[in-house]
Formats: sequence, C-alpha cells, structure tokens
Amino acid sequence: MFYAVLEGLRRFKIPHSFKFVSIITLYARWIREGRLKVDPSWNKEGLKVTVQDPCKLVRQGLGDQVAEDLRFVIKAVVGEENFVDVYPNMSNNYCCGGGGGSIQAGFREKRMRFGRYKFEQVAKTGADIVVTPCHNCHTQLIDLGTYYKGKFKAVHLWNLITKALVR
Amino acid sequence: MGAGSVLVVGGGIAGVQAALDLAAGGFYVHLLERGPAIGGVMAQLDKTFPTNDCSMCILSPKLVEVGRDLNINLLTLSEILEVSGEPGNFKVRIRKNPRYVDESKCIACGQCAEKCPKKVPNEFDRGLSQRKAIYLLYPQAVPLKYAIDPRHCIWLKKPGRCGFCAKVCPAGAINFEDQPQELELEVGAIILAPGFETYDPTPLENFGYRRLPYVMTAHEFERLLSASGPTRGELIRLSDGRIPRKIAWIQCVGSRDINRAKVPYCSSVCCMYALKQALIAKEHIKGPFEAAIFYMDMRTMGKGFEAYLERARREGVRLLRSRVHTILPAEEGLLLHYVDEKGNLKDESFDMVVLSVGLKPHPTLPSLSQVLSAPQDEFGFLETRLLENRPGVFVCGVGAGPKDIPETVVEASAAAARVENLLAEARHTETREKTYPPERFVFPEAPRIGVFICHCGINIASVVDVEAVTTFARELPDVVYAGHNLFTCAQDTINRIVATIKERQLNRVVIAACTPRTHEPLFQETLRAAGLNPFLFEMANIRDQDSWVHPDDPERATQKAKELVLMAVNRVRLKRPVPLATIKVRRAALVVGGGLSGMQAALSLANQGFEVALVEKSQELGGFARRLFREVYGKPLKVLAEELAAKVASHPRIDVRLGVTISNVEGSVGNFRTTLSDGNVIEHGVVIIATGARPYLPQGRFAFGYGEDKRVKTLLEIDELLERKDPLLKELRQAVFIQCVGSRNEEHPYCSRVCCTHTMEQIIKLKEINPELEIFVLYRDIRTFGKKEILYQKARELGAVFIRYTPERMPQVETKEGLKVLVFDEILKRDLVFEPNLLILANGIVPDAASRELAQFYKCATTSEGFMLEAHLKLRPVDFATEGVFMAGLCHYPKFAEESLSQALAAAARAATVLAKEDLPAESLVAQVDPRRCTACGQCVALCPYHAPSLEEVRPFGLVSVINPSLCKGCGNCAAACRCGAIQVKNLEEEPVLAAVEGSFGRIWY
Repeated sequence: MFYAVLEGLRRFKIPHSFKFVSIITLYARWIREGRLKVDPSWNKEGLKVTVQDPCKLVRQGLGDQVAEDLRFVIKAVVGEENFVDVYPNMSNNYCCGGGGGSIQAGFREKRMRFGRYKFEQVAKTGADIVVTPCHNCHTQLIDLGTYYKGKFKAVHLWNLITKALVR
Repeated sequence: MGAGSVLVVGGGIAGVQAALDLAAGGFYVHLLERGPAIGGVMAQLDKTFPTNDCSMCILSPKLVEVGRDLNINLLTLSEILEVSGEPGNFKVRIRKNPRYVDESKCIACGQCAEKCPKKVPNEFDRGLSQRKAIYLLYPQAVPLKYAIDPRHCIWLKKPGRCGFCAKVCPAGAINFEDQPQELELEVGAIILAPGFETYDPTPLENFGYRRLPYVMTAHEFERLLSASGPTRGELIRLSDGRIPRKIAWIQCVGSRDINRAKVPYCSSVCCMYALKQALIAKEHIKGPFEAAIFYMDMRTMGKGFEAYLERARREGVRLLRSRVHTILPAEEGLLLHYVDEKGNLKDESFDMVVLSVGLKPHPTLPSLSQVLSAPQDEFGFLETRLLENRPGVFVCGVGAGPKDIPETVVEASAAAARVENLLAEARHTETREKTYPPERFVFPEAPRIGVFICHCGINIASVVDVEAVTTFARELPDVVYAGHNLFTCAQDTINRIVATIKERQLNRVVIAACTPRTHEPLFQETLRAAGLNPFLFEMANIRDQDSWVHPDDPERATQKAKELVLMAVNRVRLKRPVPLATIKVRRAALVVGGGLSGMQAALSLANQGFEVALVEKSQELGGFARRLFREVYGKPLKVLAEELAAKVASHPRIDVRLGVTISNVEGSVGNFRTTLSDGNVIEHGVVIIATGARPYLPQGRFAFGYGEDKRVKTLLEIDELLERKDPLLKELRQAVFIQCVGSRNEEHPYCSRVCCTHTMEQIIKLKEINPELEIFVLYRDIRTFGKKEILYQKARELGAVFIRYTPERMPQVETKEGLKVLVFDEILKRDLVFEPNLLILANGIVPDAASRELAQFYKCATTSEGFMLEAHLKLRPVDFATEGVFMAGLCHYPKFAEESLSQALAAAARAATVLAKEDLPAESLVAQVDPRRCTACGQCVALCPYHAPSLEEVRPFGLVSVINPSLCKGCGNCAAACRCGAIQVKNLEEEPVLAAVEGSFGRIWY
C-alpha cells in the first residue's frame, strides 16, 4: 500500500502536498527525542539480532536513510553490541525471494529456491532473530528458516519495541 | 584581424586532429590543453579495437607532428578565462599556468624527477602508481618537457626547503619564480574538444569498488595492460602480485542505468573495449586463462566490430547475458552471484573483476560552457547541430556525447571543415612558412664530413668520454671538422652548426647525440638552413643506445660511441643528395555520388573556394535520404536533402553531372584525370567517393514472408506509410518487428548499425498515431548506442514488448492461413505465436556492387563485405590508403544521416589539406627500379599496399616494374622482396647500409 501509492505518485508525476514518512523514521525520532522510552536490558541472554531491508521500503522506496533509522531503532531496543548486520545491506541487500505475490500464489518450491541467498546470508550472521518491518519478508523468512532448518526467528520491529518499552 | 587563426580547446585526439587539419588547410591554430602535455585519454590506452593496434604507437606520430608544426601554437597548462566578440572575430583571454620548468631549456633528461623526494599518486596511471612532484606526464609526452606540480612541490610550498631538482638540472631549466601569464588571442572560430572522464563507480556499493581488492575500473585495467603502466604491462593483481587466471567484466557500470547511477545513455564503447581487454589479457597471461563478460546487449555496431565479437567468442571469451547483483569477497578472490540464461542461480568465483565504466562529460564542462555561453544538453554534454554549438563555436569528440575514436576523428576533421567554411577568405593570412636558402650543389665535391658530438648535459658526457670520441672522429678519413657541444639541440648551438657548415664548406654532417626519433627533423632543418640537402646527414644515437644503457661501463661505452660514430661516418660518406619532391596540385575536386554525403562534401569544398565537379549516376540529387522518414537536426531528412540539392545545383563553383558514371581514371594525387561515361574528362587534385549503399531486400532464409504477404513490409516501406499518415495505421491491432534481417548472418556478417534506432523511431510514431496498437519487437541485441538509448527507453515506456531470439532459433513466419509469426521466447522458454496485422522487417544495409569497381579505378581497396576500406580504421577514417582519395557516407559502412554529414565534412577537410597548397610536399625517399636488373616477376606489384608499382613496357628493357613516385610511401616492402636487387629506396641504398655494418665491426669503409 505504502509503496504502491508512493511509486504511483512518482511514476505518474501526480502533484501532492503531503510527505511519505515511514513509522520507523518516527520511532527513531521519538526515541532520539526521549518521547518513546526504550531499554535494551530485557535482552539478558544477549540474543543476537540482524535485519532484513525490505525492497519496497528501502531500495525502491525511501532509500538508505530509512534503513539507517531501522538499525538505530533495533540497536536501541536490543543493545548495540547485540546487533549484527548482514552483508550486503541497506540498498544493496538481497531480496527475500517472497515478493510478487508468490506467498499467496503457492509457488512454494520456487520461492524457497529464490530465497536461498537470503537464508544463507542471514544464517551466516549467526543471529537468533531477524527483524523485518515487512509482512511479506516476515512470512518468507519464517518459511525459509523452517525449510532450510535455520536457527533464527523472524519478528516484526514492533515486537521488539514492546519488549523494550519503559513504563 | 584574427580571422585566419583558430582556437582549439583540448589536446586529446579530437583536438589534435582538428588542429592538424586546420594547420594543413592554411589556418594558424592555438591548441589549448589544461594539462602539461597533449595526448588525452587515448595516450593512456593500451591497445585499440578492432585492430589491436598499440594506441600510443599510432597516436604518437600525430602528437609529434603537432609539436613540430610551425602553424600550431601549443598552449599547455592553460585555461580560458573569457571570450568575447563574434564569429570571425573572437577575443579570448587565456591564463597559462606556470610550469616552473623553462621549456626552451629542459632536455627531458629526467634527473630532476630522479632526485625529487616527493612521491604522489600518478593520475596518468589512474593512481595505480606513483610519480614525483616534478614529472613528465608520460614518456612520449608532447611537449617533451618536465613540469612541477605546485600542489605537491616542497619548495613551492616552503621556499628554501628542498630545491634538489634545481641543483641537479644540467640545463638550468628549473624556475621556481615562474608566474601565471595572461594572454589575449584573436581568433576567427573556436573548436571545443573537451573530452570526458570515466564514471566513478564508488557510489554503486554493490560492486565494492575501492572496498574490495581485485575490483577495478576498465580505465585502470587499461593502464595495467599498458607497457608504460604501473607493472610495465605485466598483468598481475597489484595487491598481492598474483596472476589473475579468471577475470570477469561487468558491463554498463554507469551507463544505461536510470535507477542508481542516473546515467540513461549508453556509452557506446564499453562492449568493444571489454572484448578487447579480454582478448589482450589472454595474450598477456601465459597458461590457463578464463574471461567472462556479463552484459545486457552486446553492442558491436561499428565497422569490423561484429567480426571482433565473433573472434572473441571463438577464442573462448564467455559472454553471459546477465546483470550481476553483488560482488562478494571470497577466499583469494571475488564471488559473483548471477542468474544464467536458463534461469538458474549461479555462484562463481573470479580472481579479478573489471567494471566497464561509462563515459561522462568532463568535470570542466560546466565552467567551459559558462565562459563560452556554450549550451549543454540534458546529460551535461555540449549541444551540437552538425557540430555547431553556437555561431562560430564547434564541438567534436566525446564532449558532445559518447563515441569511439574513429567517430571522434571524423568529427574533429568535420569541425575543421566547418571552420574552414566560415573563415574561407582568411585562409593563409596568418600562417607562416619556413624559407630556406637555395641548396648548394655538392654532387661533384669530394666528401667533407663534419661530426658534432653532444654531451647532452651530463646524460652522455658522464658516461662516454666525449673528448676521446671527438679526437677519434677527427682522425677518420674525409672528416674535416669534429667538435663537441653541451646541448646540440640548443638554438645557439644550432646557429653555430650552420656557421661551421658554411665556413668549412662541409657537405656531409654526422650528429652523435640522442635519438633520431625526436631530433632528426630538427637537425635536417639545420642542414637546410645552411644550404645543404637534408639527406646528407646521419645521426649516431650515443645516448639512448649507449650512455643510458651502459652507465656502469664508461670505457666500453666510449668504445661503442666511437663505433657508432664510425658507422655514421661510413654511411654518410656514400650518401647522395635526394631532391625534395613536390607535386603541383590541380586545385579542384571531384565528388562521386550525389546523395546526402556527396552533396555535403561538394558544398563544403565549394564554400571553401575550390572548384568541384559532382558526378551522380541517377538523374536526381538526394539519393537515399529522400526515402527515409526521420528528423535530423529538427528537420525532416527529406527537406534537408532537398535544401542541400538546391544549394548544390545553384552553386557557381559546383559543376553537377547527372546520369553519368566513371569509365576511366589516370594520374594520382594532385593530378587526376577522370573520364566519364559520356566521354567528358575532369581534371582534379582530389576525389571524394560517396557512392552510398542499398537497403537489403529480404529473401531466401530471411524473407519472412516478404513478397508473399502484403502485410510483411520493410522499414523503408513503413516510412512511406508513416509519412503520408496512411489511414491503415490507425486500424491496426498488432504489429511485430523482426530485427537483424540481412544483418549479422553468414551472408552479411556485420551489424547495420541503424535498424534498431530506426525501429524505435517508428514505434514512437506508430504509438502516436495509434496508441492502442500492440507492438512486439523480436530482436537479438538492441543496439541503440549513445543517446539513442533514450529512444529505446521511450519505446518501452510506450508499451512495446521486446522478445529476444537467437540465430539458432530464428522466428518462423507462415503466410498460408493468415499471417502467423512463431518465436521461441528465451526468457519464458516457450514458443509464442503472433497473428499481427503488420510484420515489419528491420532490413539492413548492403554495399553497392559498383563500389568495388570504382575503388579499383582509384587504386583503393574494399573490405571483404564490399564497403570502402579506409587507410586506418582508427585514425584515418575518411582517407583511403591512396593519397588524395577520400570517402564519406554509406559506401564506408552503414551509418546515420548525421554521421554521413559529419563524414562528408571530414572528407572535405581532409581534401582541403591537399587543395590548400599549390605544391604538395611528396615523399622524397621513394623506391626506384633499376630496369636493367628487373625481371618483371611482379612481386613488388603484389606486395605494395599503395599500388605504386606496375609492370610496363619500357624501351629498351622490355617489360619491367615502374614505380609511380607520387604513390610510393618509401616503406621498402618492394625493395626487401625484390629478388634481383633491382629496387632500392632512396637514402636507404644497399651500399651505405653495408658501409655502416662494416663500421659496426670497427672498419673504415669507402
């Protein structure tokens, strides 16, 4: 929805008076401003966390800035030392392999084949958790983890924020 | 005043060619270069495609010519500050930045750079090596003078700190007090040849440039291959010294990328240079080697390029149609992920990856554009319409858009032609000519040899005992004078040599010094200034071939110097004066072919003030251009052709002969006599061949139903429909294009260059007329090179669908039950069937069969395909090997109308270099036949690349070889091959050469 509207406005050069801001950028701003109070101390086990940059959000959408905000928020909620980045990353990150409606359309075998690089890349980081702010990537990463027998879990960003919220 | 001179901005190959053509055409040229030496990017290249010629070796003679031309004022380290005035009368203010080395004193011995303690990155090697703060840009630099880089010089930053260069300079050339100078020039016109820079791929992080070892740009790789590069041509990985046995090239880095690099155009040259680099790398590396090129479309659309692609394929270069996503570091190399053509994901490791970076406007362009009020296009290149940017300001080379070297050279000559048209009346008003005293008749005199030995500062004298060599020379028979000088090439020494020749009545001169490569012309001029024939001269190279190579053995080096001097004395004694040949020029031109090129060439020459005869075989001027429906410079081509035809027909200096062909040709450059089919004879000094070509008529395997079904048409037939806005077009539901019909196959193994672009133009027009029309294009590679790529993007945006086929599975057309087109889609891996209302065959261009016969009349060659063969594919693209014969247009190779017009102007400029002179200096050192010895075996006739010898009946010798001195270039092929010793090249006769050989054994020889 977000990307479809954004790209539609861009491609057809439709004049508009509003800006596109990702909630991630707002999280980052609120954390910086102290309005959203988070504390990584919940992560007692030192769970290692990595990240997936969704294509529509980062490479095709808002670019590296939102990817940096994403990392800032993750570090703030899980502890800087527990974050491991993937390589390549941000705008150069791999596609998860589950886009284009393939999750809903039932091309499971092909989808798993396309996602092999994504799986290997995430597995290589040794992370316990991979954060992705995209519903599509989320499902694909869970499936990849099961299919290739990875040890990582895929979670949304807000899952971790709720863990770290300070009352 | 000032109208007789021209300012050329940029000392790359474009600027150099324009300057040389203008100077030869009778104009005084100021050649401005921002760097310390001319040569540009071409000087940095290793080899050039498609001939694999050494770039430096073919460029260097031109640079030397510029350096020596009396009518070219070389302004290095210079920039334009301000331009005012109008065409014919510009005032240009220029700043010449300090070199800190006196050009008149520097002898380029290199001792300064050896002692200089400051090492800095060498930009000539793209930073892959280091140079000193005082430096020579490259070994063959013109001018061959060192320069101090003020950004790095220790003294210039803190006076008193270093100054080693000044201490060691034997010529006292270092001048730390050098100041910038401002000059004001008056010129009639300006040519801009600002060149380009290559795309910096650092922002494309996925390729890891500057981050991963073993990833480099093609520009850097070129230096790595070059014999003058950081490894002296050894192909190794600079970081670990290992030989890369597997190299990948990634195409379109900073080209055809609207997503990230934001460079929408195609850079035109990268496909060819990647193929070349792959082939040359293979030559460099002994043992196993693998090359892979990852590409989108293989764009080999130039002359000889398709054959080069086939050669690369045969030699095992892997061509992978795939866009590489990411380069990853791997053990001892790099890992590439890609999808192969079958759709499989592949991982493959390589030892090195070369990024085929595109061409970008030079960073100085915005400021140049501002100073000159020269508009830029949407990509930042300078705008041009037939090379003109604004009145009186012309642009050539990559500054106007990406292109290869031959196109650049054509444009440079063409820009010169446009200037010559503008300033025709001022020709020869500002040029200078060297005059010499009459030559002394020395034939009956006994040899009186003078030997001048050079210290070359300490270059020679620190190793060779110059005194001893002088004493030795003085003792030799016939030597009446021997002396030594600190710098023989210094002006005061030259004056002294002239005086000595006159005083001592010398009639032979030997100079023992540096190399004849750079200094022979200077010393020969010295002889002429003293009234001696320049060929009564010999040089002994006691520097490059003696003191420089034997610095550790002075005694034997001195002995060798003596022997080298003896060789020269032995040889010069037997030399005879050779008269300097000239040819009287009949200052009129013949143009064969009345198409676009022929008309443009004729008009340019006529406007320059020369008489022109234009011969056209049909009854009408205009040729093929009348049948094409496209816009050229904002005007329909047909209108342009008609306008040109009207101008040509009414021009008082153009004699148009319609309905005739050529039936016989006699003579050579300066004096041709051409007989026409109506019996008339035309006398002319030069000829321009512009006979055009034909469209391919689909037939046989490539008929695709053409002639069977009315719905199958060629591009030209669609042009007719489009032009008259045929109502049929509005009713169409679906149209299919098939590309490469009659191109890139066994019968016509070359690319026709224009069909892809013309297809895009038609798609855009069809979609304008009928937006609902479905369009499918069946293609092999889309070759919309340069800015034409934008048309391809537009066609895709408009909804045209592009489907690739391979020559192994050609599209099939059935016409029996309705029109059906079958094609195997290489991406979907399945057969597709279309039932279009219109099938358009993008038919290629084929040479005219009559071209070959015409070429033979003028002793010119054609390619195996039947196109005209130029003297050199790179640097002489409009000249034939035969002097005085030039070409333009489609008879040379398929090309766009814009390119034909440029080429026609270029041919006119080249022709003007002959016509501008009353007497043409000719090759003096020609081969001559001793008819008493000749057996008429015909070897020389078969071997000569210039068709100079022929077998003729000569009384009383019978059938013997006769060499036409105006065609001979003195290459010596015939003399070497002659089995009876009948052929000798003047000044290189057997006797003096053998005498020199005797000298090398220490024997005196009379």
